[in-house]
Amino acid sequence: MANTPLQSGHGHIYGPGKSVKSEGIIPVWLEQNGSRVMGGLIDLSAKIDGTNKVRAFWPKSIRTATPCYEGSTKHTYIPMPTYLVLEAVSAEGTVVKIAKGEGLPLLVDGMSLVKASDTTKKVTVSSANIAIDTDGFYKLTITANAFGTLAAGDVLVLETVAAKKPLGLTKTNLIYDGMSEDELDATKLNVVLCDAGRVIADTAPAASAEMRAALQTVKWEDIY
Amino acid sequence: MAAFAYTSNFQSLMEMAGLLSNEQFSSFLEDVVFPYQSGPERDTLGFRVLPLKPAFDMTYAALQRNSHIQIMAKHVALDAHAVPEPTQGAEALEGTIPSVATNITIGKEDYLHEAQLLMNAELVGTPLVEAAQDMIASKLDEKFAEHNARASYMRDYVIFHGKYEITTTNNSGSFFNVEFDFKVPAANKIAKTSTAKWWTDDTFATEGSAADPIADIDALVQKLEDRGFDKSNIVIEIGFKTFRALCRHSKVREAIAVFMNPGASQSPSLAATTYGMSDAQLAAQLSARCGVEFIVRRFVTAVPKFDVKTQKFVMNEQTGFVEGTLVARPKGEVGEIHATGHLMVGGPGDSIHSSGLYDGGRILVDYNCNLREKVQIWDTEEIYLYVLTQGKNMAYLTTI
Repeated sequence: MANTPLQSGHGHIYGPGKSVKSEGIIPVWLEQNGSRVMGGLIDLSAKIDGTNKVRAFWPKSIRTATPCYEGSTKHTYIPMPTYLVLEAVSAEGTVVKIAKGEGLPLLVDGMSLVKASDTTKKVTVSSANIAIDTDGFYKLTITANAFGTLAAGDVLVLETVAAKKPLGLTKTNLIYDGMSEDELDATKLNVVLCDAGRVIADTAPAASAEMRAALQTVKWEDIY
Repeated sequence: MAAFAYTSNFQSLMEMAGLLSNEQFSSFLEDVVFPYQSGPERDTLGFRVLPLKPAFDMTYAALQRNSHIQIMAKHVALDAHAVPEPTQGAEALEGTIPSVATNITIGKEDYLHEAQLLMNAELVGTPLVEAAQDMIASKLDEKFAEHNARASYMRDYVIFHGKYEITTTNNSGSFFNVEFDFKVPAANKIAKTSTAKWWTDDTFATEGSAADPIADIDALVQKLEDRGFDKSNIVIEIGFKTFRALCRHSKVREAIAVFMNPGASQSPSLAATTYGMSDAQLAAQLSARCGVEFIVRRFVTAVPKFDVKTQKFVMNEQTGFVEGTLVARPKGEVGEIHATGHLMVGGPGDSIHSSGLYDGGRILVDYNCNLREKVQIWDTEEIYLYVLTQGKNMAYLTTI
């Protein structure tokens, strides 16, 4: 078999004594094109945006196919928090509905969000502005026009503190894939990465058009 | 230590189970997995299972009976030839038989867990081969249950629609917009409207003010009687919720009261005299009053669909039967199940590939093990279609 579809779940579940409620297997990969040759570390205590650690965004697990990029040290990788907008928001709208699920990044107090396609407007997230709907998605309260308008399917990404460019947006080159073994007290994750194949767009973590353009060997396919 | 050997040498599950050749795998499927069946059985009620067609012929051809009424031979003069007769008894149905498939994929991580379980089983005395076979059987059995569910769904769908449709709803995530129409005449379909509906909502809560279910059932049955069928040779298929609501319908209760006691008093109400009867008793009396057997359909299956909002798979429940619809059909066979055999590609089987046949060759199971990726995949495939050959002798009543 030249191409190998993988059994995919929520990615690696880690941490000592963490109780993770599993919602069953969520298939993400349709196939990987035999390019699972890169490996390295994700440092859970690394500060992604200069303030918030990786573990703050993913306290229990990272869903497979989360976009990553290589950090300043070789073979260390930084996963990129991405957030899928569920419903359109007008310029007057003050509530943004954002997907939340097992293995997807949390909204973290103090983080700054920008629209992947328009990085000029940012919103600083405060825990007071975050609510969770009974259906399980985030409702982020913003001031009107803070993002401009948003459409369903837009992707929000983390903004770096220093540069006015969203983190890793132009550096996206790898996709995180599941671990092969559990660790009891993980501060660093051994990760396997893949940069070619097909993923299910609905179940994979959100990837903006910019990220997809940077990863031309990966196809996002609408299945469900 | 034996445990170390299994984790340091990648042995496929099939290898552990001693199933390397196609013959061994086929025997295992027939002898071990087939009797294992834990899921719902395949429903073929009213359909004749035809022998498998050759694997290369994925088409079906069936005869649609035009009329139940038999034409008769004509008198001719002594030296005359017979008058040519039209072949009015049949019309051809033909098309391509669709396939159904599932798969199981076991990645390296899953494999390590499976191998650990097998080693544990061996430690407590279950032979490795037996434990591995049991593991494979239980995994495959789940997939065969999915095959059976699709078949039972198709059976009900064909009966209740007079056609089979593959849609985005019942085949989410795969192909759609395919239809096999078995040609039920429009004249055989009765639809109640406005206040004549039995219920004005689809929860069966509010009865239509002018509803008369008994008269409507009589009219439905008459559609087939007019084609020469005796009532004893007619059955009505109905969804379980509709049947329950029908038995409790006030007009039906009244009719049953009069049927059981022709001199029943109109006061305080006829329906009140049946309040002591159970659903089963009401059902028996309804069947007796209408003079036909009711076949209640109950099979509910599901198609998973990913809900982005909740980030969960939602199990969209599906029934092949349609609540609110009654189908009158001839008793006995109304169709045929056309299916093909399978091409067994490859050699005699080895540690990385094996093919096996299940259920008399109905389902093909292909096993592949990618040694480089350490991924094992079982693919199952089946090619069949429930073909309704008595479409013109079916009658439909829509009540909501």
